[in-house]
Order: sequence, then structure tokens, then C-alpha cells
Amino acid sequence: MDWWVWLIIILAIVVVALGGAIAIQARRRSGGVITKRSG
Amino acid sequence: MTVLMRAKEIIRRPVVTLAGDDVAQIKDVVYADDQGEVAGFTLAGRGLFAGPKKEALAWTSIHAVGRDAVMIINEEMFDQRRDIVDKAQARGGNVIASRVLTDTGTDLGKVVDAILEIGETARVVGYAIDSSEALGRGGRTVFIPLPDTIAVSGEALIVPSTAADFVSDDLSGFGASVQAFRDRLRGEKH
Repeated sequence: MDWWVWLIIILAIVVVALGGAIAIQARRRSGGVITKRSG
Repeated sequence: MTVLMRAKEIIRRPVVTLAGDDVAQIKDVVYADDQGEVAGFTLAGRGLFAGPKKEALAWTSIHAVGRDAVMIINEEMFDQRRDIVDKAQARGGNVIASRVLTDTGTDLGKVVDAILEIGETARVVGYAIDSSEALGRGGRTVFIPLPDTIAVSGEALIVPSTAADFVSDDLSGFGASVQAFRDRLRGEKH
């Protein structure tokens, strides 16, 4: 394959990995209202 | 003086020191399951790649809860997260999306937010719920008051059946609904 095909594949992998990492961190960062057991 | 605020208004609000450093953002609101008192907040880092932080913020360490930021004196005000809430509770204790049941077994709806009364201390005084058919509000989001002593230990949140009589359509009249509801409960006890 030509070099630019590899370049596009690598760029696509990087973009997907980056998007996935941002989505996962956004989910981990999202909050809620938590009850703390006192008993 | 106290103000009513939705928990979701505080979630994601930046935590800023008095020196002006934007050091974290609010992740979870943590409250006690008996009196509804807010113990504090868990925190997340700032920025796209930041996850949850190991530190948390006790209510007593907060300088002010402002419209746009939660103010602290400095980063030394942070506590360890486990001192505010342990991991198991953080994973399983979220009341958002829980069902609200009366003590007579009627499903009033699904929790979409908690309502905090903020003054010197902060307390959960009610829930915003997507109302069920039983409540007769056409599925709208309404505000339901909680008694002084609340029960949130199971998967469903149990409220006295009289709470349905004090449902409010907007937050502006909700403070009076909470007071009237609690007065009614006290009257029933005596």
C-alpha cells in the first residue's frame, strides 16, 4: 500500500482512540447525588 | 437566609480558590441518608482528559457556593474522598433515576434531581421527579418535599403518602411546600 494510505489509517486510529478516551473520561467525570449511609 | 438549588446546578460547577486558581469541578453531591444533610462533594479534574479526583470537599470546608463557582480558601481545604463517601456507596448510592414510592405503595415517579436548601448548612429537602400517572400531573417534572427524616436505604425512595398533597410545579413555591408538609407531619405525630 502507498504511504498515504497508512497515514490515513494511523490518523483514523488516533482520532478514534482520542475520542474514546475523551468520552470515557467525560463519563467518569459526570456526577450524581449520592446517599451516604449513616447507620 | 437559605436558598433552594437543584443539585444539578452545582454538579460540574468549578471549584476556585480565593487566589483565583480553578482547581477542580464538582462531581457528586453526597448527603446523609437519615437527615438529608449534605456531607460534601466528590470532585473531578478540569480539562478534557481529567477523571475523578481522589480528593473531596467537605461542606464545612467551603467558603461560598456562588452562582458560577464553588469557592474555597485554598487546595488545603480538600479531604480524602473516602472521608466523604466510600467507593461502594459512590457506586451504588446515586438516587438519580430511582423510583419514589409512598409508604402506601404508590409509585409517584422517577427522580431526576435533588433539591438542596443551602444556608449555613446544606440539606436535601426534596426531589425533582418525572411524575407518574398516579400523581396526575401528565408526566411533567414536579417537586416533591421530603420529611425531616428520610429513608433512602433501599433501591426505591420511600416518602409518606401525604407528600403527594404538597407537590409543587415550580421551585419558587417549593420552600413553602416543604414547610407546610413538615408542619403537617408534626401535627399528625402530636
